[in-house]
Amino acid sequence: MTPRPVAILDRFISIYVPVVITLVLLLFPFYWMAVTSVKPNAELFDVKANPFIVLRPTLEHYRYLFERTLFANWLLNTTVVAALSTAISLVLSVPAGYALARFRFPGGTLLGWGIFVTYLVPQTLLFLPLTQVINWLGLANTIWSLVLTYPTFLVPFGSWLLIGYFRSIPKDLEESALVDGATRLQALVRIALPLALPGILSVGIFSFTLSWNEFIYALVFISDPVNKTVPVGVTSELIRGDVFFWGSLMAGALLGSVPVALIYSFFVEYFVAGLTAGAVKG
Amino acid sequence: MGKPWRKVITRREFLGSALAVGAGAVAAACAPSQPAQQAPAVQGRPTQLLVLWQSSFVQEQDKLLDQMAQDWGKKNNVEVRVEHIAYNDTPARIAAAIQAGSGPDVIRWTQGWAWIYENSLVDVSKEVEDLIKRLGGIYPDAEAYNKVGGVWRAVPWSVNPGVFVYRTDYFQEARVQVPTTWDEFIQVGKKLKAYGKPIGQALGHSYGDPPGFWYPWLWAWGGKEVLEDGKTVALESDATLLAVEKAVELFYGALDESGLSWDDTSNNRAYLAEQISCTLNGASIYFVAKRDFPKVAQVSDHFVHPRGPAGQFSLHALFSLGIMSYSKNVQAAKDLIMYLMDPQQYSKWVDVGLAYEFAPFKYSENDPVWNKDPKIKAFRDIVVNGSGRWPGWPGPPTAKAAQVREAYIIVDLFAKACSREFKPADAVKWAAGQLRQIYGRS
Repeated sequence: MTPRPVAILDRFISIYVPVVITLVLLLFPFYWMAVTSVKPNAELFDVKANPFIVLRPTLEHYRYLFERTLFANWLLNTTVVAALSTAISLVLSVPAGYALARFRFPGGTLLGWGIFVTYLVPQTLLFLPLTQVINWLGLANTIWSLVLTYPTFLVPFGSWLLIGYFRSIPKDLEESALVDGATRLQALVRIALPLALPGILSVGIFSFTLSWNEFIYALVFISDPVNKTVPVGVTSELIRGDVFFWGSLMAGALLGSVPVALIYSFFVEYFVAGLTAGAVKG
Repeated sequence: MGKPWRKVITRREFLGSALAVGAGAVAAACAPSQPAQQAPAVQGRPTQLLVLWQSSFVQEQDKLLDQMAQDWGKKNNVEVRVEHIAYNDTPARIAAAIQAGSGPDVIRWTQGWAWIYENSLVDVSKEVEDLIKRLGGIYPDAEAYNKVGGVWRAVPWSVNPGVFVYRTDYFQEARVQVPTTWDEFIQVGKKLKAYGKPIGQALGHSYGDPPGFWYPWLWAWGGKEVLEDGKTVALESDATLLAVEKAVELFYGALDESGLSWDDTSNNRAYLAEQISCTLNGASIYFVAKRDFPKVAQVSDHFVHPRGPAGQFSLHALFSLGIMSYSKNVQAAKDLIMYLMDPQQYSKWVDVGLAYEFAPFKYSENDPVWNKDPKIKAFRDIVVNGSGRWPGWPGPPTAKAAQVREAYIIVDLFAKACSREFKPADAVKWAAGQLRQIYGRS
């Protein structure tokens, strides 16, 4: 049966128009970065030219980024730091979230709130005392200072998110396993964790993104250019007084956002499920 | 029939490969790196020095500095590392270093930082007095910023003045001359705006250009933050009101009105994009124009600040080198600074940067760099003519004056009137109230 024109129009207005508007809004920054990164300087400063198109594309900004800065090192450092911090945070957040969701013990609620409040303390306050800690530990100017300190804001966030997620999984499933002879650890590993996978992946993606974009700790703890991360490296090398190297900055921003975008694209369904768990489950 | 391209690579396969590559990368990054070759220590000498420096817009200038520092280090068995960071990131680094009692041995920073961190900086009076004797005297603003309670807390390194860069062709076509008074400046600006190429001036919260223009504007009309004691707020005056009224006239008659949202980079962009005819800036616009937009450079020149009823005033960025009191390498730090300050080294650094920054000592008036390009002489003239003042003038550039500057109260005094958020008289009252809150605190 051929759909009626009214139905087609309705579908067009209710689905395609919002999708296209959302896509344009979300993808525009990437488009802008891409276009700016391949424009020669003469075009970048030409106000008479159409800013949305590039007439004489060039790779000079990418060449500058890779040949005259340590961008490849920064990319590697950022990947290592983000991956390790995320792994550490997950290892700590999962048992913390599970324990606070499942067990009743004195001070449990207070501890849950404590974790939440810890997450709210801004990094712009914490970087001063943490600098002292990093120096005591002899980790200044190494990427390990970041691997160690990023979990200080990732673990509270992850634990808090996972408390909610574990609470949304019916207890009965684990209790059945316990009745059948499983230990608490087995119930966690074999029953709760597979069911909580969307939540765990959400925490992982969020943690990775937060670590990837972190600025103030990376700025303060690292002084050697070789050890810097992408956000600090590009601002140090490509913002020089009142002169911004726009083309290379956009090239750096674009390349720096690719890994995060890739991770999101692969886990997007889990991610959405993880975030909406509390909204749709009792 | 299934779609064959779906079989090429699955997400899991892709992830597997990506993880394998990632694991390799992690392993490579985590592998112990080759230990840095440590310079052998000679008796009484430290082995390592870390210097914190802001990235110059001329990359070659940074490289030259690194090279000079390393050359000195090799001769003296000191391993010197110069870390370059963005200007706006420096305060966080200083705060963290002082809190931790560890970090860079030498920090380069600007304006009244020696007043703010007086207790964390080593006394360098002997070195600075020696430089003053050898280099023919020092400019008053460099002394005001760095001599705290009679003690030199930082070695004045460079002055980075701003003057007006302008388009000679636009001025000619609009039939206007370079202004010598602020009243003329307003009239010239009105003609340029009518011609379609207004003057560009930032009124946003940004480190350099907004304070660089609006403080001298206030002083030139006779306004001042505080009295000579550096404590008594004196902003509420007829002179300040006149300055604000004139600013509103300038803004609507002569300026590009998007300047309310401009930062330090906006006027560079607008000038090089040929949107504006004139703007206050360091030599960076001209330098970049010469490199990337030679036609713009050809029709550009500079002029110094016009005079107001109270005189001619300017506010330069002044950089100084402080040795941190937690440093274990104080003597080496002093030696390095004295080596770099020697005109034999210093002049090369100025030359590469086309005098964007030069020494705040009087010998620099005759530096060969001024013969390289007659168009940059205005940068020397505005320093030599003694018009330079500092936030807090006519009092000293105290920590409270620095706080007023960091809070952009003087800039906002004009911005709030120009945006019509306040009438000029109300803007003055508002700013005076803000100043009293800061200066009133013990």
